[in-house]
Amino acid sequence: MHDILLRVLDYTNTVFLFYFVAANIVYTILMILSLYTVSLHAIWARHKPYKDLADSPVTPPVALIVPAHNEENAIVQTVLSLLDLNYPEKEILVVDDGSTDSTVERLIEKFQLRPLDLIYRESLKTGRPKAIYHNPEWPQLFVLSVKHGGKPHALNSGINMARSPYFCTVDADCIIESDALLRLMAPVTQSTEETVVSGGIVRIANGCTIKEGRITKLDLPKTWIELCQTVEYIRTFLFGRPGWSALNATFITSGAFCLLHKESVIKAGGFSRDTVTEDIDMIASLRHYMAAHKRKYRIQFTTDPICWTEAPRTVKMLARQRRRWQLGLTQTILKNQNMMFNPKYGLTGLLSMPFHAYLEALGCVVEALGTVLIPVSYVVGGMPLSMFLVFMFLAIGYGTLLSMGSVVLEEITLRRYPKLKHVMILMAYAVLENIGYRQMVTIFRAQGVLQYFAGRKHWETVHHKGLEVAGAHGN
Amino acid sequence: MGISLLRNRAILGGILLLTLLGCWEFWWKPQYRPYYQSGQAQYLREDYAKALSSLKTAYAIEPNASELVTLLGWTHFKLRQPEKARYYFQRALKIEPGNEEAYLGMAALELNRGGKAETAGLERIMRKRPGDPDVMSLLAAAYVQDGKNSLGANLYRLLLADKNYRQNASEALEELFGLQGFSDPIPSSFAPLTRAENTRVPFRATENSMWRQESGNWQKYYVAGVNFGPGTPGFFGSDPPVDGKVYSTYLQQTWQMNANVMRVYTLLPPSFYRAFKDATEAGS
Repeated sequence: MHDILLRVLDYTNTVFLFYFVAANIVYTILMILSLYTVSLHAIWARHKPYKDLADSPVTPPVALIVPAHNEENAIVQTVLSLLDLNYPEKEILVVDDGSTDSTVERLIEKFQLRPLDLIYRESLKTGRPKAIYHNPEWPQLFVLSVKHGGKPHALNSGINMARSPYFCTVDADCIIESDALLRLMAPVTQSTEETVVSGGIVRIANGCTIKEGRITKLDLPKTWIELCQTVEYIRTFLFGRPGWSALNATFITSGAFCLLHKESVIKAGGFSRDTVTEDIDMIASLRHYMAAHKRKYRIQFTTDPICWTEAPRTVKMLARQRRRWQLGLTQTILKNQNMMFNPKYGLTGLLSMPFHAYLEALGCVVEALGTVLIPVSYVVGGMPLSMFLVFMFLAIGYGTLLSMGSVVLEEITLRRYPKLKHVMILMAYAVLENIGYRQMVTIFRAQGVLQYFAGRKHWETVHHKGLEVAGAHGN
Repeated sequence: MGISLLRNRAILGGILLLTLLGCWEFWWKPQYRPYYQSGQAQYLREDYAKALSSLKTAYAIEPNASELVTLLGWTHFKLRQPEKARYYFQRALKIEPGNEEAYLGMAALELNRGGKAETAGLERIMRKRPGDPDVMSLLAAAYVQDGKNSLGANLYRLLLADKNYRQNASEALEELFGLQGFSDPIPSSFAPLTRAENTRVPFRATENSMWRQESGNWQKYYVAGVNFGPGTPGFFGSDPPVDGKVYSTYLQQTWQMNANVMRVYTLLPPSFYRAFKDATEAGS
């Protein structure tokens, strides 16, 4: 009996070891690629190419689409900050997704909007909005009021209304740095290929002082859970995604701040309601469309357009957020399974897709089981001490190294936290994040995957990040 | 949902990956068994150094096979490396708490360094493997250490029939009966204990003197004594010599220097009492 248990543990340990080694090899490769691209980009960005872009008459216009559902606290400030963005030609489309609070009323009051019967071309099937508001004194701003249909529906309505060739999705509770849109557009204009998506970085605004939709004083949050998330965001956005972008195999961009080519999105069918993370699904749909029509294209991720967002402040909210992301990732992967191991999709199919499927989506179940079973197997004698320590080293030591490396990279290139004190705190949390926090998040994520297999397909579909933090703004 | 999931490349890929890992774990990766078997053969040929190197190779491949870990323990035991042997026996017991060989190994280690081993556990193994000379000898030693000399002697007597243990058993019996150095045959049992019918008081201490009773009269008795303990030159105090000749010589020399009393502050090996008996019988 004990012998059989040990056999089983031997097998699970082999799986865990494989998982850890594979994950860390991929992380290391991504880290090297990221170091290369991020520092190259930093050198390039030092020459301030954005002024040309801002002055040029041919810089493509961009529609900023802001889906909003019950955002009365944040919406006016968000719109003000978007109107303030340094960009030559832009339109701002706020899509009110059937809010039950006074989101629309606040906007009408602030900008003196009135309902207008404007042309609405239904390129994507959405149904006509309930009302369109506009004020010629604010020619850039349009407000659409649609029936409550979820974030993908709101985004599709915004796309139908947009006149610009590019659009940028912006979450209603995000604060975008004033140069960020220019920086996001730069890769599109620089590229020799058609760039259909350009994604930016998301940072955590907790702890910062916010006035009139601008960050006036940068500071770190105070609680451990927010600090751990700060380090985690720095790590994933600086060490993961630039690496995939360098391989032209981006699988995830954050819908909180992401520039997309409108025609391609419409051709690809727009945002879909199949998953709870429509942003990831959109990338996959675009890849399907582009591959089917044999078009050359790029999906670009850049590290200096920064968008600040509120992160969950309690463990309960964090758990909900992570379960939802994981559920969405699993849905997206299983929905777009024909990309897997398919050379038609290049490195996305051969590398990025399996990585996200087995190391990110399903891997977190392995990691969660490993967190529990490896100590168990050591206790029942299934694993000698040396092997146990190697596992612990891989699980904790290497993670710490990556986190600390990403904080260093942040300080070298972006320097959003210039004070020495901030760097010291971030370094300390780069270590602490790997002890406790990461294990906790892994368990939340594993729950998300299990929820998928338990048949939970739609779960709080419309609730996106910031909405989970009640009253976080305007302070 | 069930059928469509099975057609899903992502799921299929995952299942394939897990199967491949299973194949690797159970078939493809180097297996420890050949090394274990050659180590076992070398151990049985009593080539312990070679056995150790084969077993170490096997252990590096598979650290969780309890029979392998136990054999490593025994090899170290035979090479007189008790600390390493203890590590492997303990590990084997951790992997498989009911491992008899490892339990015997732990008992042997304890008995070897003069400690006690739990007789109940050994008895249980004895019942499972009746007549096994290895278990029998360990249990006998454990009985003796526990003070159950007659039980131990019975087992040793049975072991006299075994060709590997004959020598050991007869030495142990001679020690138990205090016969070493004397040419008596080993008796078939311990002499029955009988108590004298009347208590007799041959000595007393009173009026600042020692007195001895001789044919009913008390007479003063001058004590010229020797304090006699187990701490013999060349031996540890806990491990006194068992050869009766040593004690006979000491007693004779004590006698010759006109000492008339011998004080013993602890129990000495049976051969001492045997020698004492001989000496007093010869002296009086």
